[in-house]
Amino acid sequence: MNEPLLDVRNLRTYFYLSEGIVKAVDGVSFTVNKDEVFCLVGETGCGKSVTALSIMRLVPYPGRIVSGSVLYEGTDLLKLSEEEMRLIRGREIAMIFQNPMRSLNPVFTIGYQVAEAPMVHFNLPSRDAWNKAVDLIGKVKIPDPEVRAKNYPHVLSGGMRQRSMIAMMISCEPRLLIADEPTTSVDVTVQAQLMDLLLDIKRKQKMSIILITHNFGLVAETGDRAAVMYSGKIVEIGTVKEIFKEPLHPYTQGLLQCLPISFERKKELNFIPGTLPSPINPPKGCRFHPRCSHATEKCKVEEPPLIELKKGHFVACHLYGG
Amino acid sequence: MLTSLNSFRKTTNRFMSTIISLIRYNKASCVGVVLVLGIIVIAIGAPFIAIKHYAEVDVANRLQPPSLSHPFGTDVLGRDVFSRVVYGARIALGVGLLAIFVEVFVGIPLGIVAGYFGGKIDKIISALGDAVWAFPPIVLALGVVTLIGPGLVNVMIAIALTYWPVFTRVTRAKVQSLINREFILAARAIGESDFNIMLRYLLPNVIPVNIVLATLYLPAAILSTTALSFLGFGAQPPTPDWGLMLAEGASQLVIAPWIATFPGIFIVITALGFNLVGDGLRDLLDPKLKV
Amino acid sequence: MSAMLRYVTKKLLIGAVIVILVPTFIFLIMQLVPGDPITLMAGERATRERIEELKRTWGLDKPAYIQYLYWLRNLLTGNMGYSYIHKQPVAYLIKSRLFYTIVLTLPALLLSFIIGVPLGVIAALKRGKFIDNLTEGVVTFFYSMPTYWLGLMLMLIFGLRLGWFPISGISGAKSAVLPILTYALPSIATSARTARTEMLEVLTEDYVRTAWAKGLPSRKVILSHALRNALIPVTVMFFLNLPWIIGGAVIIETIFAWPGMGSLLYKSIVKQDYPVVQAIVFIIAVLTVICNILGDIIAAFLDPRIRLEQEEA
Repeated sequence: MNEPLLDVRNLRTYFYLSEGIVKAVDGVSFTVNKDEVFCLVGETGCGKSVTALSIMRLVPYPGRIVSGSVLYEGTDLLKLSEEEMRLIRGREIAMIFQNPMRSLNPVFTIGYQVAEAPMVHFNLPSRDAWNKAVDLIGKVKIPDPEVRAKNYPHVLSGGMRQRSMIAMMISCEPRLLIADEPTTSVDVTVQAQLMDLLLDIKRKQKMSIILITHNFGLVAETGDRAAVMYSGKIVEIGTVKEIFKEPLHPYTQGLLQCLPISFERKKELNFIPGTLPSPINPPKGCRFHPRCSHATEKCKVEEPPLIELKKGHFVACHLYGG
Repeated sequence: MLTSLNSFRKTTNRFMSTIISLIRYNKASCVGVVLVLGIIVIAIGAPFIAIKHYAEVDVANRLQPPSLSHPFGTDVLGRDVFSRVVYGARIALGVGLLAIFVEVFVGIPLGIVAGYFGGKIDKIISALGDAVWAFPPIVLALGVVTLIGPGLVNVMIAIALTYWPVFTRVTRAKVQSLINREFILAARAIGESDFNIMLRYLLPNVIPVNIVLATLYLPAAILSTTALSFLGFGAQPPTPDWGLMLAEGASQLVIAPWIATFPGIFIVITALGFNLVGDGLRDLLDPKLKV
Repeated sequence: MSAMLRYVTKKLLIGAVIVILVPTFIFLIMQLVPGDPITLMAGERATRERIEELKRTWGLDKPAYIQYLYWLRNLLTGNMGYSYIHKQPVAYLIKSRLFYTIVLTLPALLLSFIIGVPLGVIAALKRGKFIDNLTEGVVTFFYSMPTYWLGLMLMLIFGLRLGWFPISGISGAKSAVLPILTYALPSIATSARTARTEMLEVLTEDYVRTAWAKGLPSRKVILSHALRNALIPVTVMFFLNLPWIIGGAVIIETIFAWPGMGSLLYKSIVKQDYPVVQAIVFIIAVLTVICNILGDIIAAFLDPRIRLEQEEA
């Protein structure tokens, strides 16, 4: 009962480019429980998407998962054969992507694309699969599902495309859905609708969601627990309440301060000084130290380990005796 | 005076660093650079590398197979094939470059005008370009040569008229991507004339793309011009044009195959070298050109 | 579906207009050509009367625009004029040679598609491995080779040295092998290169990643999702390149002494037999237009985005 749904341990995924090795994910560990919304937060380029792709084992060339383990209900996904992993994709663990226009095949109808996963995983005959697809399209609140199912992706609006993606991916009722910035390319109003839809499905299908985002507002509204990533490493994990109430890591604090939510008029917007580190040559020691106002000598040489400071609240920072 | 010296040095530096990145990029482009440099050296140093003058006739020694004194043998008039091939490099490169030059001279302005003005002008230029491009180039070139007569210069013009649409198309696309940028809008706002905008703002920005394109299409120009010479419409004897030599060699294929073989090998080497360099340049500078 | 029909009709109309414009253009060009076939035919010592007589026989004594109208009218009735040199109707000449050109071009085109495309696709799937590098290398090699040299070398090696195939003229099926090879090898290379590029491009698309993410078996992802998309530009390019391949016939037929339309065109240009030149160039122009239209239609047929664009328009 208390066993986590997903247990990522020390995951490392590197990209082998001609300019050097990009350590996109460099020793990432976290757990996702059943029936929860787990948020993976961080700026663009910190490695959150690559983490997600690594869980699905869809890391594109020239990337490779180098070490670590990804335990899904006790089984290490990284040790499965390609065929065994294929059976997991779409069926147990599913993923929706950021850009719905490019993520839908332009030469097939929506209905066909939604019907594909059930057809393959459940061996449904095409007529049944099609009906199921229409049904799913209705479930994701697209009006006129029978008509829409025969449409091609490019005639639909951004919101409808994203809903179609959702329909595709929940068609086999996966236990875990990874949502990689699902609302970034749609309007704010549609954003809210999509998130409501996802939460609704989560409730009905008893599904966990890993929500990848850089939008703290979303995290606050929908997340149960969250992990903050920086330059390929996790710097803080905790419940969303805890992280907002008492952010431990200087980076988290900085991020939260940057949010222009405040009732008092401030003179200027806050920002974190410095720039993101180069992915090929990250700083030695703690990766955040060049931009951290609390940096000590130790921070420049030694990488802080992730320790559990309070129950369920982890942080990787020497400030807390790491 | 100092600024032009500076910009010259800058251009040379950029040139050198491009070559170095090409060599480093992958084996293929490195080979390409070697081949291209080789051919250029041969072309420039022809009088020193060749054994005899290309037109020097020696009927007593005609149709000799390759030997120490004639590494590539002799042809039907006793001329040394090796020397003719070496001098031929000059012609191939020269004609190819000039053809490209004309194409660029025609294609770029048309592309800038089409991209800048849009509308009907664009439609006409693009339609013209598409029509010319769709037509088989050999037939088109033959048609032009029929009109203006044979000869190396005419062949160059004919080929240029066949290949210019590529440059127009690419330039137009580039211009279209530029016209909405702020610096163009700013130029308009301060009252720059259209001509000035095209000349001083757009033209410098379309040059890099066209350099890559020129490198990619130089082999095609060389292949086409030699083809026309092969058919007899290009270079006239005794010009040591490689295509012409192949034609001469074709009739002697049974008894003296070396006459046709060696010039062809050199055409392949030249085209291959520039193709490899062109591919490398394109990958490094503008992968979107992968047409 | 009616949108498709409208699209096709529109394209055909444009094609018809071009097909009428082209002969006009060609005719005008031909008028500018220097050289006088009449003098050639009559010979050096012809008298004035003889020249006038010849002019009348060939209808060249009438003013240019009348000649043009005659020509146009003749074209519509299938009469493409008379060859000066062969003293036969041009249409007859072309008809007798068309077959031979098709015998060469058709197999080459089929081969380029049947061998070239799968080769390119496989190279893309095995990116970076041996087969990919080999294909790239071979393709670039053939791409840098003049066709006539390839023809000559094939003649040399397989015709003369090994004696496997005859090297000129037509004497049974064997004599077609070398010309077809000369045609086919570069075409296969270009097809393979295009197929590889498009396939690589498609394989990195997001929707292919979606297909993998759904847990579809690799055959379905590669063939159904990726290839289906990659084949669109490949097929369209195939049709657009068709005229170019036909153009290559000129050189190949001349080298191999193959009695097709290409060698006829060449000889006619050299001998200044203008009616023939006019007619063949016209045919090639029509063919080019047809191929382009076909390419557009096929693109609309295969790609719903283009099809539906027409619906909304």
